[in-house]
Amino acid sequence: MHMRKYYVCDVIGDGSQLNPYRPKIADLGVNFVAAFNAPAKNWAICRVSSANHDQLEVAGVDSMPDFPLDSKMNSMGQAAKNAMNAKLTARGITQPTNPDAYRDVIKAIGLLVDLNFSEDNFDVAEPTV
Amino acid sequence: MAFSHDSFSGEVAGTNLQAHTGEFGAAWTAHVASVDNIQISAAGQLYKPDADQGIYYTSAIPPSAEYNVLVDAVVITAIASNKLHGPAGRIDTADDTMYFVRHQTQGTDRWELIKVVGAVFSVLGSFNQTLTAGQTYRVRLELVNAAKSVYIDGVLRITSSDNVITGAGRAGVRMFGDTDNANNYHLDNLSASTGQEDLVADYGGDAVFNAAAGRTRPVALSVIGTGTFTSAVARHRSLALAETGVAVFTAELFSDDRMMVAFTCSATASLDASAVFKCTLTVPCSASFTSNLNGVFQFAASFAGQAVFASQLSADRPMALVLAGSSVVNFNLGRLRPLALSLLDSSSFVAMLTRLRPLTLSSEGQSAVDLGMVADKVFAAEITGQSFVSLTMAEAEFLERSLTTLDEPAPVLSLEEVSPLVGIAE
Repeated sequence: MHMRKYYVCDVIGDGSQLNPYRPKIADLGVNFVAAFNAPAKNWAICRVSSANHDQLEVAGVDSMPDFPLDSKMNSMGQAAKNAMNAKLTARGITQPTNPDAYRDVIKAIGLLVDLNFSEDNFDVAEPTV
Repeated sequence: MAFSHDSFSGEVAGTNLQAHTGEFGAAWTAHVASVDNIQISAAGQLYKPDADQGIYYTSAIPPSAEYNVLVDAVVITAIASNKLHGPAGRIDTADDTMYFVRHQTQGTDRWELIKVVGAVFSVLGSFNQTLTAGQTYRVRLELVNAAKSVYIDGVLRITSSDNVITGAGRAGVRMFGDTDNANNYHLDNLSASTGQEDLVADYGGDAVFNAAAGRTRPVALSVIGTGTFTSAVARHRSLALAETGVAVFTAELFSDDRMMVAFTCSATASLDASAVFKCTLTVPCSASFTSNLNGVFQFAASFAGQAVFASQLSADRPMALVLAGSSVVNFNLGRLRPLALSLLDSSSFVAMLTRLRPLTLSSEGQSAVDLGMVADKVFAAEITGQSFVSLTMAEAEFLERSLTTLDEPAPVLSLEEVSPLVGIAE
């Protein structure tokens, strides 16, 4: 079953035509959309559509909680919240203070690399069979 | 509405793109960052015989930074890696800066949405798809400030909120890698248009065009040519038709929602449409035009020549009708309320109007106007102008009549079965 999840991952590439800046996820064979500001920042926030998110469990790729975008953060499990916070902190990503919903977290991260970032216009289709 | 279109037809094989001019808004310029020529194949498609990049943009200046660039990716043979072609938009003509779409087979076969700023490339999104030899894929790059989107064959695949490149720039194509005259994939049928159409079908030359686009919406059609055009397009929200040659044009249009139609014709034509929300007709030359339009909210028709125009319109919503030109016009209007009717030139106008409230009639020319009207409820008429006006009104419960004539002859009124008659002012 295809699922969409958010990730934060490294940015790779050198910005050339055949080796463009891209999220590390781009080389893992999945459908994605990404927001990043290379080379100023070395990380990207991504939304990935895949039937097998296990294949993305590689170094340099951090999965974000599989949590409804409009659900309240106070309903997210503490373990998932701690794991997310640790991953973001390790990348030096500033988190919003007291976010109401998961949407606020995603939007705040996106705005760090794209001033026009909108979680509502950040999507990729499921793979075609 | 398309502002640039090129089918890349009518050229000798091997013609450089900069030596070619498309149907409209499509004289081509090689970008300052372009290295190799893009050429036109014997099949009328774009290919690039050399290994480096070719970047070309059209002469049309987009009306704003929000527009679509569409192109057909025609797959000739299995695609080798690093043959990277596709539509481009917001092309900065002085710098290697733009958004574009390309297909890549290095690694997983996929479409990529790319942002280039000062020759620095970033992949904003990717959608996996293996292309099949012998098939054609319609690739649309949609550029609006809130989102950059990629559609393949009318299906949304990638949406990015990136808006680093804000200038309208130009529309065009970007190709990388050599694609021989007969292998890999070529590009064809470039269109650049405003609006958020799911489909833009452009037609040029002598041909028969048949479109049955199903429920996909909205759609914009631009028809330019000298041939026969027929179309059956259902449930589309926006339609623009322009026929500039000597053609027979027939279209059947249906919409279950708000729909706008703009139709321009210079030749013998007919147009049938149902549930059209807003319709604009322009018949600039001597032509015979017939139409059958239902559910029209606003209607404007302009006739510059000696057109013979016959139309049957019906709508149960407010309607504005503006007619201009020295033409013979016959209308059969039903269930229109209220109706504003303006006759701007010297025409012969005959109409049968039913259930109208109110009616505003303005005749500026020496028109001969003959109206037969039936109203079943409150009715008001205001008539100004210099024309021969004959009104036959029946079954009106209430009438307010205001007449102003600037010159002779005075309008001729014939009132039947109007009761009560209130508020006559001359």
